[in-house]
Amino acid sequence: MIRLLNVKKYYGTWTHVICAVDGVSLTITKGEFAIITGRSGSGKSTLLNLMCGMTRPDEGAIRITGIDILAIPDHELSKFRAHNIGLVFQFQSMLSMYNALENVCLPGIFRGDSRDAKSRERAEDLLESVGLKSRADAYVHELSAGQQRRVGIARALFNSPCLLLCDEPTGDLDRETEKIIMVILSEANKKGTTVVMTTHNLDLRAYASKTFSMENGFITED
Amino acid sequence: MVVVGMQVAASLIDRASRNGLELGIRRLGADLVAVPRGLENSLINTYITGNAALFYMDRALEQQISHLDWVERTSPQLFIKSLSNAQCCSAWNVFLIAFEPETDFTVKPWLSGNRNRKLRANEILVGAAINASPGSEIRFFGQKFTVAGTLDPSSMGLDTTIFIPMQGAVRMIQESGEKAEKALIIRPDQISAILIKLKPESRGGLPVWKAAYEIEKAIPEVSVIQPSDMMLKVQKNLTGILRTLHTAGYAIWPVTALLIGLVFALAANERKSEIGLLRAIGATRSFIFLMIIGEALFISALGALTGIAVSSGLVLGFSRLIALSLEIPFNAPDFSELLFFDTLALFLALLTGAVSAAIPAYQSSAMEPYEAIRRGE
Repeated sequence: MIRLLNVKKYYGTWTHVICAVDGVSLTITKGEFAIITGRSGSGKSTLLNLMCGMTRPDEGAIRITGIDILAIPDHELSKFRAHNIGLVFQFQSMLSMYNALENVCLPGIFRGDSRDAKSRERAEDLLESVGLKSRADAYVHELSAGQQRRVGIARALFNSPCLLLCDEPTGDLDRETEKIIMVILSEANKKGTTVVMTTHNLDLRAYASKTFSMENGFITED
Repeated sequence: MVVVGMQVAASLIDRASRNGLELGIRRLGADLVAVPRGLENSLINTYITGNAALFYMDRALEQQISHLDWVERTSPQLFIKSLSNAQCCSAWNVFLIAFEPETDFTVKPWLSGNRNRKLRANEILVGAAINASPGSEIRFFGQKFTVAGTLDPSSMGLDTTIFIPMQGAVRMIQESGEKAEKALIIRPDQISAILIKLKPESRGGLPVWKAAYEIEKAIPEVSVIQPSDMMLKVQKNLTGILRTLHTAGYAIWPVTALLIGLVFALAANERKSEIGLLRAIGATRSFIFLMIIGEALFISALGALTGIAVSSGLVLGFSRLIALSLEIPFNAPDFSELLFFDTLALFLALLTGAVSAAIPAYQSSAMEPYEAIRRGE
């Protein structure tokens, strides 16, 4: 499903260069629930974004579902993301001019779906699965951080992706909400979606079928 | 909005004055007009704006002109008085002109309705801007007149003019000492202008410019005005204001374009996170580029339409004031012309918006999604 081979990513400033991801090689097979743990600044988020082509490595190779994502042109990569990858961000990622339901429907536009009743129905089902059907008309300022995160998960699942990448989805949430989020992700994984998640909370490794630790850009499989 | 408004206003005024002048000259009907030497500008002002100037010359001069071989016919006009806030009429200024129905070839052809009926001495014709219906009675200098008809609009000073048959005017002038508060002092052998129709060149006539030259040479007491003189006068009156409007518009245009670009660069900077997010969920670079250009087009269209509406409203709403202050005729362009100006202005505004936003749009679309999200956080 995911194969990374000696992937390196540098960030440069005027004065020095930081190696955020330093020669990472890993394999995650289809249907796994992988959790990457590590402290802030260890390179987890960069690694996750490399996996979906949101940023390009300076060295190495990345294959997702057998496709070399570094070899395909940018517009093809966008299409690839729209069809195969769902992303959950650690920051508030709802578009403020749309309500929860419209936010969930967004990925459909980039997959070429028309904004019809079927899309709406699918979005409503997803909101129901994350316990937010009654808040479908709510805008970002009317939702709590946990609710926003759940809307983000519903949106990530809208195109039924085979791979769900979650960057610190429980980062700033309370225990109870964290549990709700983890249950939702586990449910998605049970339905066949490969899940890769980053977190600094070691306790969440209990949900994973495979765990990695990251430090200073290096990764080790636990 | 301001730039589009200025350009539309300038174009409207320019077009309306040209339209007005074309209509007015057609409406004037004479090839040449002779006035006392040196008073050609006074006549042009009188005809264009209705701001009357009173001047007189000997009526015998008309005979001299009419006897020239290449002159087909002549008809005199006598400028009697300009009346401000006349109680009879709705117009600000009403100008009384006497004309000779027997020889006239410039007034009666523009009479709405029955054109062949002989006008009696106490009957008058009123300009299109004067609110007096046929059959109504109006009193001037103690003399009662009946409105016989209304003239077609000319968009010039003629619209606020009342034409009185010469016979009635002479009687009114003679009796004004007894019947009016203030007597009119005009001698019976005086006229103000001579309208001249030339024979066609095929029948031995002269070109208009040559005829004007020959008349002035033969009769030194008169100056002769050609329609093109009026055109030049209007153009002269317009040059200043149009140059100001156009220059200001052209000067502000690049500044506006820069500002739009700056605003979109700032907006794109503020929206990095949103742009990164859209790219993350599958938006292509071209989608982001077109989205920003689309927003620029929408905002430009909104500004342009507001500018068009405001400037058109002001120019058309205050057309009379503009015509008077600039001393130009004003005949509002018809719908198709207006549509053409507005479409052109809208197109230029859209083009400006799109070009100005192109660089920020390109920069936003070219950014790596993760980079955009990181910078936007």
